[in-house]
Amino acid sequence: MDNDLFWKLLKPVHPQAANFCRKLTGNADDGDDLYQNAVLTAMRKIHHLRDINAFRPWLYRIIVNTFKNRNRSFWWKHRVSLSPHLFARAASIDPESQYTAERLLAQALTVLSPKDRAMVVLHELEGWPIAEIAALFDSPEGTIKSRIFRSKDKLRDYLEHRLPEETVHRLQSEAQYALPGHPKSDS
Amino acid sequence: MHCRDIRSQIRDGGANLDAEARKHILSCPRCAKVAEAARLLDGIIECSRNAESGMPFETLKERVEALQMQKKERQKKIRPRFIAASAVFAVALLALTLIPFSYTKTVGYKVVIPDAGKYCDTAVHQMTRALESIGYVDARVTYDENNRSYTLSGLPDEEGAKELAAGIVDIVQCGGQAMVEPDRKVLSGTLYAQMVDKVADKPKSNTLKLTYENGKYQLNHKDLSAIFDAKDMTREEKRKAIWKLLDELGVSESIKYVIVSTDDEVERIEFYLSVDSTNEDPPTRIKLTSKEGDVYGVVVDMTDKNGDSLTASDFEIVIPDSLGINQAIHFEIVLPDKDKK
Repeated sequence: MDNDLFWKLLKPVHPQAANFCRKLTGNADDGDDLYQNAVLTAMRKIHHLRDINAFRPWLYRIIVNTFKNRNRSFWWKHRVSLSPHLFARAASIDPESQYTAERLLAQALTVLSPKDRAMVVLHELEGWPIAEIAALFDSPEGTIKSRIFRSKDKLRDYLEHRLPEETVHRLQSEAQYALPGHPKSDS
Repeated sequence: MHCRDIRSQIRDGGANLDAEARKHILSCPRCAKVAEAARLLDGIIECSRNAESGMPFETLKERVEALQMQKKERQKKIRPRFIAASAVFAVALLALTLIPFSYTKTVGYKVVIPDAGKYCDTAVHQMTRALESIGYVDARVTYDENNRSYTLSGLPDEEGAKELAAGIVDIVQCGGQAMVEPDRKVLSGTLYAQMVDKVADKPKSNTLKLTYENGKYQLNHKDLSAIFDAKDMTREEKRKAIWKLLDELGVSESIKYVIVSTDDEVERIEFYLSVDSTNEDPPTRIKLTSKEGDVYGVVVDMTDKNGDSLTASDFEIVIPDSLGINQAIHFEIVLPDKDKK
């Protein structure tokens, strides 16, 4: 298989794969590095691909493996840092503040193993169906579902323990939890 | 509604709560925090879902192709260096394994008895036969007419040569002193062969012989009194000195530990022997204790002059080559009780 065919196969999956890498790593620079390395590996190993229709899962598997290998170095896990200030901003969930949300998610995702992280990103952010993720990781669908469920639990725990108290008090008084007719619903 | 129910609802459904749950949250700060974390997670996931504009495809293609080119060029640069290094290595290897160099090697020991012919006219062939009868089948005897000396060569070890020399002087009663000399030969061999030769030549023994004569201990004919009686040596120094001695005797490979200890009455020197293999019919069975204190019915041939006691002054331990338990076996030399002497 020559290089031209490789690029031809990559082009349609490129936008999603590039975004997946950015979301997996938590920032654009690291994501682009990861993607570039994964593409280099894929190009070198393209002759191992037997069915060109299976190019997308094959590429994603290489991405996840490359990510797992990079994650083995200790420093990588601790690269994304987030101040309480950022939490305070994110807690108010300003839908326009996509950057803040992404940073916050990237920070929370560090509590997960690389594999769980890839599963959560693929399912929750990239919208992959469970069946496809199960095929990618060569695991039963039930396993994937429960791993994603447990991972989300971990993420919630992580966020809960880092939420500033005053944010909660403020949010408690906000209209979203107020009931119709309750005095706080007017505030 | 309990906090547990609220949290379960949050786990299952995220931040979308029913009216009762919301009512609870207004009065419970802990559940409010859990709900807020769930809402936050839902929010940031939703927010992050929006597609980013990733690296443009053309940029990626350019970068990857450039990296590939770099890698190929680097490989081209590395290849000549690798070939040169391999060639140097190959030449060194050839020199080591193919080119012979001359070297001297001690192939045995010889005993020279000067002027023995004055006192004894034993024929050379008679002497050779006598040597064969006591096990020296490779030994050769030559007689030098000029200085009337006998030379017994082809003796495998120095200790045997010394014993033989003493015996012959005693029998012949020549009154002179027999000399034991190493039998050296100039050989030719590659550096590798020389190395192998040196390793093989390292003296190895599986026999320890402790003798006590005239108030002195000897281990395989080496005097131990310098170590035993040294008052200015620490136990550690004594231990090191014994190791050195065992190494000289070629028995150090059979021994695991040497411990020098002192109790109230006597000083002890302990050796822990590592014996290889078991034998169904060992030459002599005696009881020795392992370093863990287990008693073994052993595996070593240990006899004393009277044939029964470990505490006798002269005994010998032979570790047969065929044995192989690979257990540390302990025997101890109890030094004379100086107070009782």
